[in-house]
Amino acid sequence: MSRRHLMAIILLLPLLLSSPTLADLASPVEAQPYGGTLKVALPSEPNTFNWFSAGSTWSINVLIPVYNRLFRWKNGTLMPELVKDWSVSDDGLTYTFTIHNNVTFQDGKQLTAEDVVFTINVEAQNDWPYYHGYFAKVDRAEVVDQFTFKIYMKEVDAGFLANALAVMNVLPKHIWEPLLNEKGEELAVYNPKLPDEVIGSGPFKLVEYVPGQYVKYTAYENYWQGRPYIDELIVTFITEATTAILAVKKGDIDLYEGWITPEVVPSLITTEGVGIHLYQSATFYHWGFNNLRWPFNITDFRRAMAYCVDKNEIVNTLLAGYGMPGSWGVVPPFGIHAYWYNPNVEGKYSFNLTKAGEILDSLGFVDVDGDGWREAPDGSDFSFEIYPPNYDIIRVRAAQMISDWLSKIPNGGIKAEVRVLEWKSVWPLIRDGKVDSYLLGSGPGADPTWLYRRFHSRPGGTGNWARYSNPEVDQLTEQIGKVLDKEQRREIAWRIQEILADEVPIIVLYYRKFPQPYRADKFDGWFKAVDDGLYNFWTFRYVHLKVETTQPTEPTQPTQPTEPTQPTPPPEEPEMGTNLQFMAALVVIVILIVIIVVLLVKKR
Amino acid sequence: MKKLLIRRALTSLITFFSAITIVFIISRLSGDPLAELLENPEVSPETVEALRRAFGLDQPLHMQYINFIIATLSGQLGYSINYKRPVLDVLIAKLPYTVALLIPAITLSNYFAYRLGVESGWRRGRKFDVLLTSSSLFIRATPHFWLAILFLYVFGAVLNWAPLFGAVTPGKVFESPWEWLLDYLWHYILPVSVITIRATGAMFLYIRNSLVEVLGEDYIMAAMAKGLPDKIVLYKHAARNALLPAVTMMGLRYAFIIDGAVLTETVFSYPGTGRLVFEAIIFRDYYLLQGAIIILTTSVILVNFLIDILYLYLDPRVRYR
Repeated sequence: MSRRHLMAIILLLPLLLSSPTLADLASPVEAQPYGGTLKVALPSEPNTFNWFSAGSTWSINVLIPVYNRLFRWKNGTLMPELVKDWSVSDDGLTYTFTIHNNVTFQDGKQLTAEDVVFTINVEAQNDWPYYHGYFAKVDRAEVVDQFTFKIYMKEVDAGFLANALAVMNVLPKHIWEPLLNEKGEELAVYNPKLPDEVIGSGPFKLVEYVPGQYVKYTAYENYWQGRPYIDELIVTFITEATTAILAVKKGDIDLYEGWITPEVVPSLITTEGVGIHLYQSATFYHWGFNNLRWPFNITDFRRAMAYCVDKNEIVNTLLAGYGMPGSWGVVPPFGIHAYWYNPNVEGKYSFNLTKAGEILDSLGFVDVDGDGWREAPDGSDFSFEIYPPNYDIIRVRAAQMISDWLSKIPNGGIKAEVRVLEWKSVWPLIRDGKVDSYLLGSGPGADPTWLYRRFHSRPGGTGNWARYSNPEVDQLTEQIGKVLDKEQRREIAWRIQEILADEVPIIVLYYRKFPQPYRADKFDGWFKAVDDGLYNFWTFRYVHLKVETTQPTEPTQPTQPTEPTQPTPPPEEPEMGTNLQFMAALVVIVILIVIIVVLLVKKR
Repeated sequence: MKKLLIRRALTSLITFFSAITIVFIISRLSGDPLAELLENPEVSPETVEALRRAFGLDQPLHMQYINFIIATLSGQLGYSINYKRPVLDVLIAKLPYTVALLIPAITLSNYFAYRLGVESGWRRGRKFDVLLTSSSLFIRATPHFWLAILFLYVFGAVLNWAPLFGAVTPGKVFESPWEWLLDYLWHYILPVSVITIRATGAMFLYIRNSLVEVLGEDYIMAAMAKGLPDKIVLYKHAARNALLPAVTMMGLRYAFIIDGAVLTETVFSYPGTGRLVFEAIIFRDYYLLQGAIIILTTSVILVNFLIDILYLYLDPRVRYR
């Protein structure tokens, strides 16, 4: 089979792989069998079990099964979890919450408003907790009665629930208050004793941690929402993706929560019993301009650039289909951002080099000396630079493609030089506004208040690397953090996107999609969110052993749709296989020789 | 002889200081461990500053260096930035796994290399020698991680003889210590084989070549002329002398074996110090990296020092000089 065939298959895969449907998201209300051990692999181990200071993805991940939150995201919707009822005062400064009264910690003590208030106050009143930034506008939290509490804000923060309360695990006061009193600020670097000090109210109880090897959890029988279906959860750490992929294929682990390259997907989906979950990452990879530097301070020049970028081509060739073209309004159109996304900015610009040429003509960027490159309006030669990070080959190639498109503008191209340098030395230049343009990947926050960070022209504003400044956007991004009405906030978000699409301070090229392998033959009930991996709270609650009888050879998601292309992938497999088998044989021979020689030597 | 020992000890000390200075510089060159936090919208700049103070990273570089030297000399390895625990605690939890890998690997590989190298050198140019020399060249030329992945694929995935990752089956409850030991050995066999095979392949060539050189000496001819049996000539006369340069190499190779352990542990997700070094580099955990490297360097220097002493017994010439 030729390379091109393989390429075609890889390109088609993302389309064929199952996308989450509404049916997948419906909570399994019907009774499922209890039992089973779910084994999950993470690429790295947690560095602490102290949730207050846990910053690494892995540390946050290993605590997900243990704790409850006040609110939690469920495939793009913010769902109340511990919260039963809540209200906010008209001025937006006082929140009143009532929590469920049947929640217990895994040591049997009841979870009350005291615990929630304690956790919030630690976050708000110390500067060392990892999420302190989200709680910066909180003045204090106060207990009203056993299951009611109030949060008083210093100023209105419309994103407070979505940002702060949706990430906050509720920790037991009876364990952490003595620790806080004893250690003070030192608590930041304190690693709690296991398992006695890592007690939560979540569906799983942490029972054992063997450094470098695994964390073991057992189902919490008295979990207030009903015990989870599986008995045991084991989270192990596999450094090498290659090893993890082999382990999923072999069935040693049921889920790998790490990054795998799209090239291995064909061999995974042809493995019986292995499923692939494809999810969208909201990180927006963009071509950013320094909006203060000439010529990028000319809005029409940036618009001309927008006509020179073929996002579909980048997604199809560079990402092999594992991505989605970027929105002109920056806000991603899926997951938790879908509500805020303005579909009207769709197709604002299309790949049209002629149109770009016309705009450039009108701006005076014309090829006057006939060398094939356009000169600046004053007749001098001009070019600009694009800096992609040297460690990301995809962005390096994307920069080269952009440079290539720019050179092909009719009646004279634009010279864009791609500079691939050690990123550590480039990053300070971007931060200090010393480069023309760059390719960056930035993460949006859970609430549209993140638009403030990215596009507000406050002095010394970190995050607004494009140095974009527009009085209306400044005013709107401030407003979106202060208005509480959801409909009204959406209108503001839509207006911001309209302006961003019109003025093009940055061009979002793509959002990436990630394939994730899991065992579809052993377990059912995986929670597949559009914008999240299978390692999530909902999976831990819903996942259960597969029932053989009710689902007679249920189409295991990906393998079925790929049926038409089935005859094609195998030829590539043996090819790779023989290579490896040959090398394996070689090694075995070498070992045999060594053994024979040792025996011979002994005989003498 | 006393003088010699003192001189050796002094050079070891100087080596130690240069090594830890280099570690200090390299870890600082690898970038700011808190840089990623600064870029994270969820972390306030104040938090980052608080952390910087807590870890003493706000001080000027020369002060950091002086503090580092003082701490090291007083046996303090500092606080791991990533694990938020004393470096020593983190290291001690993982050291036994690495030691258990290294000691058998070193012993076995040196023994194999010695026996095979001597026999192969004795039969130089014959089929036996050619086969062994070329296969050891092959082993030497393969990258360490490649060999590890290959073993993993063949024995772990295709043949299904050994597990793919970890030091014991995750989460398994063991009825008896024996059961644990069995499970441990089952996980142990692949990584230890990889390290042993690589080390044997490298060491073999030194011993073989050294023996070939010795065999050309006149006293070997004399011994053979006396009518001594081949075995006596080979092991009493030739091998002992051939071993001298090889012993120095064993000391030097020790550093490479450690390097191999880092890669092997990473591929097999083995919970040892090697994988810790790998992670410390990834997370730019200065103090952990420093601590791990200080321990490893100390062991290398110590091994070489011991080998120098061993030399005194192996080679009378050094003693009488």
